[in-house]
Amino acid sequence: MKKIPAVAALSALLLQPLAGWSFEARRAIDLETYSRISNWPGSGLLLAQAPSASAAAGDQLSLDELGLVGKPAAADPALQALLERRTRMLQRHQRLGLAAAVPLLAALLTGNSAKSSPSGRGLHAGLGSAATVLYLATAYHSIRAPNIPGAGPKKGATRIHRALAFVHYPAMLLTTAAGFSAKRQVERGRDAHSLGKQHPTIATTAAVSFLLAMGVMVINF
Amino acid sequence: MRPIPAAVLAAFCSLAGLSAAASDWILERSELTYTVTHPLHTVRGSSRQARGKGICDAAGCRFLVAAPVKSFDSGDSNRDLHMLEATRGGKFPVVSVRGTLKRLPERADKAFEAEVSVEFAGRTAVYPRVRFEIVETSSATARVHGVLPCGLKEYEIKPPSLLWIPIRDHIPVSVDTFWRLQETPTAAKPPN
Ligand code: HEM
Ligand code: HEM
Ligand code: HEM
Repeated sequence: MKKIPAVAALSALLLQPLAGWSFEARRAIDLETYSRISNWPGSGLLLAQAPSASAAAGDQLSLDELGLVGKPAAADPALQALLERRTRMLQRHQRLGLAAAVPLLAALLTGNSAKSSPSGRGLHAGLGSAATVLYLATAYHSIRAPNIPGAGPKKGATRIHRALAFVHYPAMLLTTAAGFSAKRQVERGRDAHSLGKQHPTIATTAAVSFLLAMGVMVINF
Repeated sequence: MRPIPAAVLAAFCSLAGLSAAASDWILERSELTYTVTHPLHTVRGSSRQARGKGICDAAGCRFLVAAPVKSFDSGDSNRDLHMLEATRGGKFPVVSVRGTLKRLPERADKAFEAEVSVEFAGRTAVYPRVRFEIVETSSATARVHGVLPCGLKEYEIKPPSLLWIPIRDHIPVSVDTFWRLQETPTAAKPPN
């Protein structure tokens, strides 16, 4: 069976993002790359000075006078660039996520026809595959969006959205694998069995958790 | 140290009905809150990390309140990072509010108007007449509240959008401040 190492390698590759999430490996990289941002507030009040915010020397109402400047940290264009890159990637993530939802819903609706005719199966498999590709693109852009050093813990809807990814990510991968397996089984004239038989259940789990993840973000920005 | 005659101070520090010899006010507590409106929902973000100082003399009162942009918390980490990005918080990490009162409030005043200039996101906007209410006073403290009628346009901030619908331009910022009269008057530098 030559296929097994290939499947294992592919799975390892696809599961890598989950490992990244749990171990915060990317955070470490970002921290290293942007270590000079490390004086960013996190402990107490550290303020950089906005260029003209401090009035003329000797003014008793300057930011210095307030004792606001711990270390006189300069404005940080690197941090701004990081923030902008994060926003760009997350916006793309959002659009791809909405795009993925279309074939995903269509696959859910055509699941039944996959059971009855070869053409129905072809259509459903096509929609399912398209959903998977767009899904992976969506996931990729969220995972690659840089973390901001010192930004603190995830809070609010974002936390729920991220937590749901731990459900739909493995579920989507399994759905695809199970779908292909069911297809092969049915095309060989047998009933779907083992993993193939689980395809509808896993697919429904994936779709529901994905749509929930989308739902929590739609009421948020 | 610039000595100020006690009589002058007594005359001008009438905000809280004071006769003590001092004219500097230190911001003891505060809560700055912005409100963002979108057809789908309304979001508030607050900071309690502002610092501030006020000086009253014969010419009136001036005050400065400043906070890290990063310190505003809207309850959602991702939204806060977005806010930081949209407001160029990396390049301009501090929002500062300067106010000027041409006339000192009288003891009986419940409110006053001040000219306020806000420096934010690398731009400065001036609001010529902002009304502040004197919520409560004691002999050495004053709680003052006002709402700055800020808009994104003044600061050249592109309104972020949710589902392709941008947020409203108007972002009122509520400034709730609690001031204490400083024992050592003007020019006493806080330790660095
Ligand atoms: C492929 C499935 C998805 C995964 C794995 C995923 C994961 C993530 C992650 C990890 C973040 C970053 C949160 C942070 O670090 O603060 C994020 C943000 C976000 N996701 Fe998803 N998500 C998925 C699907 C979707 C879908 C379908 C939508 C639909 C609209 C969506 C909308 C968003 C939004 C709006 C943000 C915040 C982006 C921003 O505006 O800054 N996601 N997502
Ligand atoms: C499975 C599909 C996809 C994969 C694996 C993928 C992968 C990538 C990679 C490796 C990057 C570089 C990220 C970085 O800056 O570190 C990237 C960025 C980008 N992707 Fe994708 N992508 C996919 C689908 C898409 C799609 C469908 C679109 C457009 C609708 C898209 C638009 C972009 C753009 C515009 C960038 C530039 C990133 C930036 O400005 O920082 N990608 N993508
Ligand atoms: C990723 C999104 C997908 C979703 C949401 C999905 C959903 C479903 C559902 C709900 C069913 C069961 C319908 C029923 O029992 O009435 C089904 C059946 C089926 N799906 Fe998918 N599917 C997806 C992807 C795929 C893929 C990628 C393939 C194959 C390449 C595939 C192949 C099949 C086959 C062959 C059946 C019929 C199984 C049988 O006859 O027992 N599906 N799908």
